Amino acid sequence: MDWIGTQLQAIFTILLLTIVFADNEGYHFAEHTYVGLGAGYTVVVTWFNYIRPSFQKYIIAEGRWSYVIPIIIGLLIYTRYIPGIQWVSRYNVCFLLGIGSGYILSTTVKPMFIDQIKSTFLPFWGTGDWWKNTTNIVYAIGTVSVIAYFLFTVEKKGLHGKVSQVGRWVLMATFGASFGNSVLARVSLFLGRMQFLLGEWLHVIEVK
Amino acid sequence: MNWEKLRNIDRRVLYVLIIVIIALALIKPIGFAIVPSQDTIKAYDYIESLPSGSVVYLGMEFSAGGIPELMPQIQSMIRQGFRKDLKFIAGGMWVMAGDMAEKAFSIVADEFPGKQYGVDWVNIGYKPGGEVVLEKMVSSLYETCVGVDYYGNDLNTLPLMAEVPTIKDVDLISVFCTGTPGEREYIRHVTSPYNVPIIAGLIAVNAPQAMPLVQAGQLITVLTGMKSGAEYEVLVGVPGLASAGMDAQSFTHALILVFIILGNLGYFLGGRKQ
Amino acid sequence: MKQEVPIIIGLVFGLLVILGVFFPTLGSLGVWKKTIDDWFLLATAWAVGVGVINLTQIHAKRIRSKSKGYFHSIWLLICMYGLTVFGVFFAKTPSNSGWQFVYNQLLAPMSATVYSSIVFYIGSAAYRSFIAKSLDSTILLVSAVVVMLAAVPLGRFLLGAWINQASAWIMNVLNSSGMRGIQIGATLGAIATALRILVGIERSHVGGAAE
Repeated sequence: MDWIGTQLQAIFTILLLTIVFADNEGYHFAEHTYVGLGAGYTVVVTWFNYIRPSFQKYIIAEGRWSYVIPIIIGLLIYTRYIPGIQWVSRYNVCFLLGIGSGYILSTTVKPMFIDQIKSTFLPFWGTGDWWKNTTNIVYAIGTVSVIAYFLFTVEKKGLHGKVSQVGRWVLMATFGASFGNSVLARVSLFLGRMQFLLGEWLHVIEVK
Repeated sequence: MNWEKLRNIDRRVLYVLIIVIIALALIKPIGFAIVPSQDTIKAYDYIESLPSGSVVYLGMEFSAGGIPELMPQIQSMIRQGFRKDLKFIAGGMWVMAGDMAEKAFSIVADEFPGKQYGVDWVNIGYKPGGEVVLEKMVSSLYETCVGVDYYGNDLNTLPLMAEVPTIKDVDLISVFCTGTPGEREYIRHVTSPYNVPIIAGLIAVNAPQAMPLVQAGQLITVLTGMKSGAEYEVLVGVPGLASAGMDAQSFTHALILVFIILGNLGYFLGGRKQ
Repeated sequence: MKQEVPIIIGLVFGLLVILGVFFPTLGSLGVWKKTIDDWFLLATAWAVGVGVINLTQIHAKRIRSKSKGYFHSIWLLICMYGLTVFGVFFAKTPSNSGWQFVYNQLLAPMSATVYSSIVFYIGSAAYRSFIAKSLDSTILLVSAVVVMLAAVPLGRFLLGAWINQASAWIMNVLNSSGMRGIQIGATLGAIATALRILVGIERSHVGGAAE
């Protein structure tokens, strides 16, 4: 079975990679296999990990019949496929979005806004290290200038224009760093597949 | 010479060269020295500072696409942790969390035969619901898991779960992510309100976005993709797939840089035509 | 009323969550919040079939109309329903060997391969667009080159330890400050959107124009 699995893995890996050279039926076959299996996997894992045990525990073992209400709310999403009563699915959507919005408002402000702004207030002198002082100044200017850049309701001229220009340069450095890391990431992913093809499939390299 | 041609090299030439260079570098590696960076050393040192018996929660917030970048980090952390008799609970909000945890702990049987499931580590698997899962974990891990682990075992039969009633009770959270929900959700729901220390292992694409969180002290450090995986393997002394791949990574980066230089030469020497 | 009642329900539950986070020991708010968390997890879990139904609708349409490649659609539906039935009725646990085979030998590798093919596009995108035409693009190029070289052992081997220090400075100072600016803006946007959804100004999710 291991041997069959390895061969299947290799075949589907190569078929999926052929798309970079040209569109072909082999790629579409592999792509549809992946999408089909992925959708089925999600349903089964959710069933194993939550739906079945929660039903057995909450409803059958503990008799918490009020928990039928959220199950019904969850099932209401499927009314979007029934002509005439699609509007009923809004109850599911609004229920989930309302709770999600509540969590965003209550948990985002401090860590993602206030703490971030607080951390930008860095000492510009007196640290005892001239390089640290310089870095702190660059950091603060960088953050403020990028925020200024995103003020599109104010015309970019005068002081605002100059500060926005600095923000643009900082953003260019940011995107350059992001790109450099993107290359690292994508090469790593492809490397993983090549290690499989050359190692487990063709046995040309040793795989630890 | 028609320098403009340097800007119009067929992209398939680059594709074939990428494949050839990676294959050659994997078959005949040179063995460039891998020097651990400060970020990886910080993670290693923090784990080293934890007393024996400490519990680490591993957030497996990624799918199979993240394996080459994140699995070396995770397995190195597990090796280091088990050598120090730390304990692990693994699970997550991503659908493949349970399978990723199973793969991560697959090294235990061979390398740490004395370690016992349920005592030294537990895989609680995937829990649907996104970030609300973390809110639930803050009040009760047992309730979040509806009483069972990834394999269907009753959590009451697993001694480790009795030590950690909620996620606030762990000594460290190490979250490994490829997207959302990820480290930010842990910070918002668990570590910021309850001061639980957190290390993030990210794919390289996401690492730049997490740097402000490190600067603000909300993350201890960030492990960046396969690079940090290789560095962690060096620190732990068990080279694996990440270390083996760094030569190929080096040469592929060099190839892309060569093509960037060719493109620029073609632009500047070819008359700066758009 | 088909819009207003669901929006009011969303507002009520959202407010209960907010109050439960800030005042967990006030009255029964803490208990209500825990119940709401359970309800949310259950409602989300039971909605898992939406993706399956969407895919079935799209591909059934292709099969009915016998459009180009419709046999791939037949295969997709076979894979999807086949794995679902196998998993729920035959495998029953993730330890089942057949389930493990499908996951380890097919699904996981294919998932990894789909993302790995991006390396080719990244390479050709870099070749075509990273041209130092202006100061902006030069900064972008220099930043990318320094980070790419420092990310691999070859960079240190060729240029010495300074490349790693330069990359660390770019990542920890320039990149971090830029990302912070972006994220402060994004956080403000998220807060504004959440408020708009709660109070019903944003109605795209209930099928109506925002008022």
